[in-house]
Amino acid sequence: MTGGITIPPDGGLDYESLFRAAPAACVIVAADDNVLDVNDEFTAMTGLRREDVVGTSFFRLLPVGDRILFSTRSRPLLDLTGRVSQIEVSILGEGRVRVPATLSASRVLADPALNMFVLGPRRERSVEEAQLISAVHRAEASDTRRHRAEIDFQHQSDHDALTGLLNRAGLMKALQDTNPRQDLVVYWMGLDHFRVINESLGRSTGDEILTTIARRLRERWADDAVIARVGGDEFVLTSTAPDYADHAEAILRHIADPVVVAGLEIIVSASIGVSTVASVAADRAGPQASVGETLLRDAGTGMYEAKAAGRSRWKHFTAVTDDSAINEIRLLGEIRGAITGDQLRLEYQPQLNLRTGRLHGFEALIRWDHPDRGLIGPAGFIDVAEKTGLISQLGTWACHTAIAQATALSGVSGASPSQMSVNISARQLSDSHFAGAIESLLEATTLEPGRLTLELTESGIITDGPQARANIQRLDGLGVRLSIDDFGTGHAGFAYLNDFPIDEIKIDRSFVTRLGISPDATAIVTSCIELAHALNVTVVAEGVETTGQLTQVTELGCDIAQGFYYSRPLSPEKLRLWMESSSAT
Amino acid sequence: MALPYIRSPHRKGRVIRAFHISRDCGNGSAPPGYAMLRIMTTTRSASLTPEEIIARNNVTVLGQVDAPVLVFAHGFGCDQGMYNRILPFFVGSHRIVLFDHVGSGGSSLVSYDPLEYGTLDRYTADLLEICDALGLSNVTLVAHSVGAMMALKAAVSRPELFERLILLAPSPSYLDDAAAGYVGGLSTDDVHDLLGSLDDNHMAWASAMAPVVMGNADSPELAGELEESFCRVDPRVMRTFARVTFLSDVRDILPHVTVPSLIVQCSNDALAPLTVGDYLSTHLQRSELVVLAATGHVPQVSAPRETADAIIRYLDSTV
Repeated sequence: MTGGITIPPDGGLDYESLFRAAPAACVIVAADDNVLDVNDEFTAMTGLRREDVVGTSFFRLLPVGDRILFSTRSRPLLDLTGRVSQIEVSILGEGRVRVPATLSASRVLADPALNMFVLGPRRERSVEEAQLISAVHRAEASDTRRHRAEIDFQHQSDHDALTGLLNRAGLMKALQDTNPRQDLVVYWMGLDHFRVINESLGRSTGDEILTTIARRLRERWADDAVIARVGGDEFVLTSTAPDYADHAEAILRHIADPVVVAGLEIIVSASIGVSTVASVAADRAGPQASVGETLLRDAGTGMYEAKAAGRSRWKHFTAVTDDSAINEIRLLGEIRGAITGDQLRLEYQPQLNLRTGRLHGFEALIRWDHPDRGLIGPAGFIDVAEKTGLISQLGTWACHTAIAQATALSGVSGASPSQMSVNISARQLSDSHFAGAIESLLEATTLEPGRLTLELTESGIITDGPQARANIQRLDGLGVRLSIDDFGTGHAGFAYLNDFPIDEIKIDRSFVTRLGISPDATAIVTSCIELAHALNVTVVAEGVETTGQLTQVTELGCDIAQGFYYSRPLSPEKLRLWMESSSAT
Repeated sequence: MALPYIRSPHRKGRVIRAFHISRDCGNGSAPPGYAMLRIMTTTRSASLTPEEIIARNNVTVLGQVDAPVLVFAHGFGCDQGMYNRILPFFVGSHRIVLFDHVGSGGSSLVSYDPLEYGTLDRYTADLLEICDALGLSNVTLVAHSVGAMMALKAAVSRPELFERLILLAPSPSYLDDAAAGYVGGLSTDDVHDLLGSLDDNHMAWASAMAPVVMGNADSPELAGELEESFCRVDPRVMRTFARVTFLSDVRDILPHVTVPSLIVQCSNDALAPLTVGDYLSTHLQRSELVVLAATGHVPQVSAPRETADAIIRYLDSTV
């Protein structure tokens, strides 16, 4: 007992007054979070009146972010441990103004149980703390950007740039990921005579049709199907929906709906091969092949069947019609006939030297005038030929013909010397006789080896068998120029540019088409050019179709442009006329 | 045998979860019915051994050997300790598996990669890995808040593993989707507001983490207040986990969930309006909905008996 003040033995202090006048903002909260009472410091701090608060949920005093955090963390911790301390919150004061506060709370073991919340002023965030937090935000943002770039990259390597559908690699991944269900159906669609559209109406029209068809397939089937573009004019759809006949018919109808491009109504038909798990004999494709691969192959064969049966129809591949190989064998027989029967010819697409504004040279492109099927581009048969030795014969024929044409052109008086580019497949490049065959062809003519450019594929180079390497070195020794076709579309790094004597790269048309539309494409083209020039490699832009694209590739520093803007591929006769008219101007 | 033992062979300096359990049971010693279990490991993950998975997720196994399995997946905000109050109702009758999501509680922080754990998928994969590492089957999965989203994904990818799902205060998407007429309860602005609240608490959490980082979690003078040592969070993990929790949307997988489920809602949950429970029960086949009298977002803490009763009723009715 001091100072004359006596604490009554029954503890009868005036707790009400003590609570009201306590020098901290206090809130008494029931177990259901309703506010039972607040003190004067609380009303002073928040500007709220006691009667506004009492009886309402404490959560209503918190802004939504704090409310979420409080209900997921602080409130259960209070129940579990009996107290929480120093939580930074804002209290929604008078006029819903946020009053920053630090909250501590403890459970009061009264009956019924209560919680006491005490609010104090919140300390200002120090400069160091603010810097730390903003550094965390920056690190997060940079992580997110990196992640997005990785996803984009993955997306690009799995998807077709034109249609946004999966590409062949993406499709294989999708099929491998899932252990195919017993009701999986694969539809392989080949557009009929699509090359005719490309050649008569231009690639951009063809592309528009492809994207339209892709969109229709996606709109109708994307919900329960995997859809891919697996070749220039071929699509695959895999689905577990029942009634494949109905779906095949529906696909035919969706594709055959007219497409209007530049005022022209174009109707495209398709041939569809259908394969089902039930029709796949597990071991037929060999132990290495997955069910998915076998299904794909069977559906592809079914498509050939459908084409052979007159197109614009679907065929269910069955083991009886299969003999998978039969169709390829038939096609191979036809290719053989084409080589000997004069059905093959080359067209030549002029290339423009962007530095001089003059003709640079030509790319030789193979064409097959099929007696029944009409004009077939390389996509229709090179793959099959590649699987067998036939590609060597085809390749030799193409080189021979192109070299002869180049020799003839170089003999035209007044014509400035020009390059002749010929496409070489991966299989040719790994053929031990290849370089020797080219050497013999060159020796038999007067063409300077430096006038011949061989266009190799990234895969041809990367496979990098010792034979491919030996061929490349020997060709380089002869003075033949070596070019990389479709640069940027493969999955290779660019290190091989340094490892091999490459003279030229051809930037794929998919990047050129997106110049000025996609910043990524522009960035990729720019870096390809910089890289190539740093290594003293010439850069050809493919697929240049508009003045805008020509201006852009010129400004970006490309050396050579090729595409419909300058000229379509020309038959030898038309080529002669074209040269006469262009030398006349 | 009645012992509260547990625990992954693990880093030293860890708070042993048994402490919390026994504390909650009020007498500081082991509650009856806890059996010592040796963690049996049967399968191997492609990259991690079962022991590593158990350590990574701070897996705790309690209860009866050879009893029906209950796996508890915690939600956003804390760790497996959120289940402490309902464990006594099950420990005598079930084999109980608890764990912390990577980044939370006593999980291995070195395993946390903000990009990998930036979506539900990795959490779901971890959950399945834990089940496989322990060789579990016929699992009843009890999952709270964002844990319920993981449970739904896990049930779609491995339906044969799960006997039932018990979803506590679940939501298939916390965000409103006006176009679909779906009311999740929150907007993206609300989630940004939450990130601001996390920033406000960044320093406090970071300093509470310090003893863990220093490896002195058992030293009371460094570990500080009980609630800090009890439910530590890394402030950076909280930001990422908040995004995963409140921006994920699993509505599209609901029709593919074939495992039977119990949806347990609270009467007044700031994070999941009652319509969310209706939405779930409409879209989940073989589901039952029960609305508790309990309020708040964490009924297993605020109303352990009522929550446990609802679970037990469901377990009994679906034997």
